[in-house]
Amino acid sequence: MYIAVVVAIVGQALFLGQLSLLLYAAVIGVIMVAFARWFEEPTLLERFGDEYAKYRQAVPGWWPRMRIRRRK
Amino acid sequence: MTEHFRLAKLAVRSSELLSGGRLGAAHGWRMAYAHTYDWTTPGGVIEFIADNTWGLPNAVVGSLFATLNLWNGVKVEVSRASGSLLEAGRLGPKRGHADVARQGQSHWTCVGPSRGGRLEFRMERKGQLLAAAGTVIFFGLAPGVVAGLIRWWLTGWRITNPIPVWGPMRVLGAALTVGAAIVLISAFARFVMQASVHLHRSPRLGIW
Repeated sequence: MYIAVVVAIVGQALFLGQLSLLLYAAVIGVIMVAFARWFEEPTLLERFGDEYAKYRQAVPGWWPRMRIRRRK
Repeated sequence: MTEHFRLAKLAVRSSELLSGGRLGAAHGWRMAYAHTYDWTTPGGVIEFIADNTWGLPNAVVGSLFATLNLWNGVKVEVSRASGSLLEAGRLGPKRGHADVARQGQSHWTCVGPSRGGRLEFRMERKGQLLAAAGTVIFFGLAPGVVAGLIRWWLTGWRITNPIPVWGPMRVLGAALTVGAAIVLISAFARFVMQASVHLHRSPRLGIW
């Protein structure tokens, strides 16, 4: 979701030809990554512990999955 | 006679709106600023920024919601200071509301722990439902504000050409925007569905 927000801003910057919006996208991106890294992840790890650690190993995190996961 | 009644009703409604506005403003202010931030760590600074960019629109919506509820005659009772916001409104089931109906108040809001067995239980579920609704609003609103409203506020809809031939980049930009919107909407839809499943499946909500 964080990446989609940044991509939505970059897309509009290219569509409108307003390159200053790329700077805004970068600022928003830095804020969101920093929020996830220094606030969200430590908070979730503290609250859910092992369960969250396992979840992190199971998902690619920042990289979107290209294939849709099939249910067994 | 009828006219007098209407005027009196309007006066009551206006005072409700005023108190709702005051309550909402206090709520928004507290949401944004009364939180204690730890300025010595990057986490604390980031938390402040996140609260004031993503949290503030949410507080505004919450304030409007509170105002609207008071306008519609939902009563606020601040009898005990601690506890979570519980609500038993007209959306709630009719059974179990006997003690409330006896007092002639069909719907009210209670701030603080309440008594009354099943009624309390139902009110707690209502509170959880409200919390879920608030989170859904947050999930839908925050990306819209960051990628939509603030983006628009920065440059509006002015279209320019940074270099003479910009057409292909425009197409790429449109594709990226549409793709990102699809991802955001599907994430939002998935969240709404999972939230409702959680509400229905939770053992504490078994009799819903």
